Amino acid sequence: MEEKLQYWKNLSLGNLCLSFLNGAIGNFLKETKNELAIEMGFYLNNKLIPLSKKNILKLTPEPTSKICVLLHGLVCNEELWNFPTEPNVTYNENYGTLLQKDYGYTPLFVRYNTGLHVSENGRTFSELMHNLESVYPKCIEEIVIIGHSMGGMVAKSGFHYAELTNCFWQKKVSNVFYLGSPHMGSYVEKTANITSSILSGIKNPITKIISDIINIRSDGIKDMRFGNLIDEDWMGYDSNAFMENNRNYVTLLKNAKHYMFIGTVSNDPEHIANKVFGDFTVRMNSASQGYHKSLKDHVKIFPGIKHLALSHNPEVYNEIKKILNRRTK
Amino acid sequence: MSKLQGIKDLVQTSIDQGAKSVEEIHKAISNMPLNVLEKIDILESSVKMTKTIQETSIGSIYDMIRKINQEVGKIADAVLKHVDKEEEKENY
Repeated sequence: MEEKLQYWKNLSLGNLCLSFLNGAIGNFLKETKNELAIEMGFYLNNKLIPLSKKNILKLTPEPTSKICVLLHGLVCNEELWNFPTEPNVTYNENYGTLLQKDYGYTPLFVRYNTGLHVSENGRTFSELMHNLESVYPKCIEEIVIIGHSMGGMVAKSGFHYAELTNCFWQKKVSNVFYLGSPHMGSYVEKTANITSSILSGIKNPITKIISDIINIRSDGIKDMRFGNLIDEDWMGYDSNAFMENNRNYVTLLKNAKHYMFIGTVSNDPEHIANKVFGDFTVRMNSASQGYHKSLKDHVKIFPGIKHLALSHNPEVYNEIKKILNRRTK
Repeated sequence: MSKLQGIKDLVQTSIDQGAKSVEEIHKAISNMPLNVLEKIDILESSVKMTKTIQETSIGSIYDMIRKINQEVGKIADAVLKHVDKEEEKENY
């Protein structure tokens, strides 16, 4: 518990609040053109770095031809990738920096407004990668993507829009790691939808208002109900309708290998709580995309590692390493 | 400074929306006994009138809150612009 508290203390409170606000009502902030709305991109000292050859060198002084792009999850930012460290230690290691040290991948951390629709972020992510490719000081030969929770969904959506717009960057993606991504939705969002629907059904002004307050939650959160990825999944539908699943099937990027990492609440892999609660946010079935036949060998369960911890855990990194080692042999 | 402007805008909008929601609850709750009385034929017309008076007076309270919120917002805008200009001068 103390370790957890220390972890949260090490994070910058202002950034955390801003990310939380964007996750909760990010679509509203964007619609009202509020300055607090986060723009997708690469950040340095909390400032968005416009993409140019010179700026890339500011972000990463020694760029290599292999890059690793990390996308954080809902209501998070890139600080959440950092491993927990000792008190008063400001520098943290994370999957990106370790991949740089061990394999020479140049890590790039994307920050984005998690309150927007996944499809909006997916499209912007595709554009961002396309622009990155054109200004990157070296010819990009390989891209590894690590997406935590919603980050994995944004990456998947990004691949879809990159294929649609005939981009080239996605053809260089070799491995994609989805850490606790709700491919088939999250039961937490489903619970919110059911609660608000029941409350709005009761003919009482108080319950109606409570239901309205619950429904204020962002488009990004609502997309997590069934794992929406593209515009067609939500456009033209009532986002507050009771358990209405309009998700379309989106094929995975063919040239890349996809790995689904699943966390669980209990250390015992066979414990019934794991089947009910998954990693406390996403159920195992959803995080594994329903244990799809083609992905059977690409699913890895981490007993006792909960949802958020999947983004900064040495065991998870060791598994990433094992996979990359297997490939290089 | 732009973040401060963002926070100010957000607080202002939240107060505005919040006042609207509370107004709706306020009206709905205070109308509850009147809705029951309205069903008695003899009282119907006088209850309707009472309802209108009540809703207008409740509405005027919340209109006042919204108006104050707008004015405070304008003052905050002016202060933020002034601070912005001062900062620009210092940087120059």
